[in-house]
Amino acid sequence: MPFSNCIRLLCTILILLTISSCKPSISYFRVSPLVITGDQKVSLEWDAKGTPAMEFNEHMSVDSVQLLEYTLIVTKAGKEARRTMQVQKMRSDASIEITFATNKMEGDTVIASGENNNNQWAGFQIVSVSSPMQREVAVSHSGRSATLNPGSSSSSLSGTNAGGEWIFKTKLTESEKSDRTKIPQELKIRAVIKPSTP
Amino acid sequence: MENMLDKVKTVVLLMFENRSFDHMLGHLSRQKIIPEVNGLKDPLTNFSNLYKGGSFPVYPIREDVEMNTDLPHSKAEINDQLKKHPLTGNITMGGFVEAYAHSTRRDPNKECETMGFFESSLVPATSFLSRTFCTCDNWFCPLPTGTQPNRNMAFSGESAISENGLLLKIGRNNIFDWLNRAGKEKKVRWRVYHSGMSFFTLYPSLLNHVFGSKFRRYDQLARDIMYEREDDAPEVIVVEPAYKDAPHITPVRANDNHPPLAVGWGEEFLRRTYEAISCNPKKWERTVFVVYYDEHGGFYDHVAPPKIGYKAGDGFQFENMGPRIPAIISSPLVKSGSVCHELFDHTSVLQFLAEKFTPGQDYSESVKERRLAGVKSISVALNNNIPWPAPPPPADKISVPVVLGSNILEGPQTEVAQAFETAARYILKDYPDKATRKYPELVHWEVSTENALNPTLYTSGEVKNTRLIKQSNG
Repeated sequence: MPFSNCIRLLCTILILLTISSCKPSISYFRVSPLVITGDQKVSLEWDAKGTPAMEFNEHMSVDSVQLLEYTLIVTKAGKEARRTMQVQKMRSDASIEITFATNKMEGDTVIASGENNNNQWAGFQIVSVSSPMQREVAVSHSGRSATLNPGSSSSSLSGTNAGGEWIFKTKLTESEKSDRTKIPQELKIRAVIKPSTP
Repeated sequence: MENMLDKVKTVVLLMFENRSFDHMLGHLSRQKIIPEVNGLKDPLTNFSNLYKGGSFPVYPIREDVEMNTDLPHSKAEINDQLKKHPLTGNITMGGFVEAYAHSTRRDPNKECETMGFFESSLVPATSFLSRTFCTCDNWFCPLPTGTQPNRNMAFSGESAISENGLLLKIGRNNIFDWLNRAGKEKKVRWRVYHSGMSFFTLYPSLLNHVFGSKFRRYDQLARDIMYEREDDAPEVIVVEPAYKDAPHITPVRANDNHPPLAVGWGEEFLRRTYEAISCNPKKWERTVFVVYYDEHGGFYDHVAPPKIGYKAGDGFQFENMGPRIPAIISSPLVKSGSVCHELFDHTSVLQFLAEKFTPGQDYSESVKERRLAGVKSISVALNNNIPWPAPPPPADKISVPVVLGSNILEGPQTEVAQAFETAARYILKDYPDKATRKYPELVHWEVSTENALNPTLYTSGEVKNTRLIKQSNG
């Protein structure tokens, strides 16, 4: 490359660096943990270019989860960039629903499986599980299993991590077997959880 | 029916961008403004998506601010959003949050942007027209894909493409050429009022129309409605907002409601357009004003689209329609506060034009196919014989917290924006006189974009110069 072109390229890079350094931007805004119980602290970290301000709002979600909402607003040269993160605040003995869409059949058994978000729930352990559905559900998680009848709960999974892979199974009713459109679209369990580290 | 069609003298079409029915009008049923609308209802937890074990219900948006980002709404992403159930094959509408998470590469908040909906107070003009006239709660975008194929369907009844592209093709059944052919004794009079660069500039084959006298600036609309003699006035009017993706150098703000825009700009545009359309009571008596959206833009809607397919010109076979969009028919010929549950898509307007201007003949073969598949004409919503005057729209202040100006340095950020810019450069190069007469602001825009490629020490550098980066990389 001729020397004059090298100089031109260098100038272009310098100009681009100058330009990009003047724009307000948020390269990351992390909030942890994403779920807290009563007296836990929330840690906020960000890398941003510009003057940061934090807006805080606390409200209930439509499904009655208390949300702590942090909005990072970065301003520079009359422009702003913003990003919002929400933290769920729970009671220490709270229960959550874990729900997966059904995705497989084995004979007359329908299966729903997936990851319960590890980023959210890795800091919590299971106390007990129950079935909020009007049907029997077999649950497998962390190498353990339980059969949940409507209205009863089980502590077979006690001490396992709330996050990670779960498998739910249930037998189809006669009516569901005869009409595939009636196959349940999702299976859910209710889990009482507590923080792994008190 | 013939009687009602005879009463119609003016059809006005206003198409906004990228919002779903539940997002804009789902509040009608929940707030009991029009309870029979198929919208959102309490408990809102019945309108949810699942993602990684958690439930993400719809939620009311608290403030009309500019969003952080556009939402995913490409053909593949919409396929993910519709989410066919692996066991039943039914469309579940259950993949909006998952598509959002994949697109942003972040775990979504409990209140995920794709699930937000507006209450009446944040969309006062839209809500006013709905409660005052006829809400269509079963109107789907014809294709589960982006802007351009759906606009092709809206304005020609067919699409050569299944995804967005640059300079676009449109057949001889485009609405303008069709209207020119339609009148038996005399041509149907039509006109376009554009607020900024017209979307039809993207079609090279339509430039003869775009540069002609039938394309007028938006600020002439009220004057023409008020004073133009009825015998000269257009029978079909297309009103175009200022598109977010179009080149901007004028004080006109984008108001097409395309995310991440706040919707306040579009609400103000809708209010002013309704005022203009209804300012002449005699003409208003015989006017049908259709407000609709090109596609859902990545926002959740709870109704699965019908399985009415379409094979695009590029060979791609769609198996079903796209998600529901907000649609309102404002006219003294509809009953106030009524709801039309009939199945509509954008070609329902073309069916209506054919009923009106070529009775007994379909608009085209492809529109006929959709009619035979169950898509109705909007004429079924016209069922009121008793004239009533246009009520004034809400006069309340519409506020939008805003940061001024997107910068010319940023360059086009989307495929459609790239298409607009390509069209602008094409007409400036090949039709410089006509282009600068029709869009004088493009002269200034071209100078500014050239300057952006030669930044000086005086460049403030408020945003990343993607034009320069592109040129350096190129």
